[in-house]
Amino acid sequence: MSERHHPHDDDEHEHDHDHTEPPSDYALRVKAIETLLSEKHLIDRASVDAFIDIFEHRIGPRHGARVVARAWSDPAFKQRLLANGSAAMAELDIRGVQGEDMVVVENTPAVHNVVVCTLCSCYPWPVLGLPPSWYKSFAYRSRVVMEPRAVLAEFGLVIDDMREVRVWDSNAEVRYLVLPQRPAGTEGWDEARLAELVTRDAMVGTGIARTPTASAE
Amino acid sequence: MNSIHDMGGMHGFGAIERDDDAPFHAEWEKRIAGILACAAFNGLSVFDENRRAAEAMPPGDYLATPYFGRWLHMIETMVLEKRVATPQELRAGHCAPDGVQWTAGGITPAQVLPLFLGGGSARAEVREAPRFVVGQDVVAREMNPAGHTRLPRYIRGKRGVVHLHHGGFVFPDTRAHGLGDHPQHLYNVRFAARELWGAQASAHDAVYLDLWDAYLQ
Repeated sequence: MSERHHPHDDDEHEHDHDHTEPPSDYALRVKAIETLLSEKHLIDRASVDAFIDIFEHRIGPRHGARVVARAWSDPAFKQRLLANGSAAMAELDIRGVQGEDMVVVENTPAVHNVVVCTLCSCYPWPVLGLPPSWYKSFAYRSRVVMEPRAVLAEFGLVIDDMREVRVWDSNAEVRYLVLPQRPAGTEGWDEARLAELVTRDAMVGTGIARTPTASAE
Repeated sequence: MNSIHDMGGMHGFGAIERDDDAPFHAEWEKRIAGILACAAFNGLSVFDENRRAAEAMPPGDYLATPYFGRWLHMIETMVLEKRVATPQELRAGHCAPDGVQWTAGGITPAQVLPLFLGGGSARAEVREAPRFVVGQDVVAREMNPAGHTRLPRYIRGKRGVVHLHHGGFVFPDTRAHGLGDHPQHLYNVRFAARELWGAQASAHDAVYLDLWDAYLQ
């Protein structure tokens, strides 16, 4: 069973000119609870808006890409990052909820890492933002711990039989970020250029960093 | 709680489907995310309580409810459980004339970003010395609590090796039920894939989880 949203669950049409469909039950229930809790002063609309602004604009994989590009460029930073993820990220002014206690795991020629939360959706928000649908899907949560190689193959990633695959189930309050391998052919690149090669998938472990050729396409 | 949220190693959910990787796909999804964050910062409930509420959904409902619909269920459950609202108020979407008013918290929009960036680590001091050291063989306890736990079924009774000692962290099994923080040492434990899944798994692969002291023997 997938968790893809259905068109009738989408209340974007509320902003359309012709109101041909009623808003979904979820949209109505959310409106009801927002009004109720505002009247009770448990929440206020402007603060809710401020949180949404963070979720949509402040956090996201571009910050994780900065961390990775710095680690590729600065061996001393990489050491600090692998020793204490949150402290090293704070050097780049990256911090916040769901990133308080970060562990960074490094991909090497011998090891490929991939992250999941089998129990729900734990994910390092400050560096990756809120998770995409596939990360929260029942298929990913159920399968990647048992058949990581088959799952990675679905993402287009075939791992050599002799290479170790480590699956990190973020079942507690520690959050994990994968440090992907630096692609060949990027010698002398500055951090901003390197960061463009670092995808969300590469930092979850369902992908690898783009190669210079692929990113030019 | 042995329920459907504990999905690691289940069959039947099919291929992993991808969409546009956006965190939200409807206005109501954004709103409920902001509402839940705002209410949490104002002291309504902690993550562990919210997770417990979602996990207590009947399995069929859990599967049929979209991700942010489960967030809505969490906050509806919490406001009822903590007697902030009555079922009648929830249905009406308005505070009754004699309804409860929330007096704690009261964050302002200007405080939202600093609070978010400040985060809220689950680290906590533990007086007792750690029972285990890195490299030590451990066994995940075979136990089946009816309440909230972060010990997934797929590792219960399985042998692993301590990979990291994270330090002290608050204990979700009590915190989720309002029974206190009871901090314990938290360890990252490596389980060989074949220990978990048998001969069908690669001899090279492993799954890593974060386990509180009470989960280990």
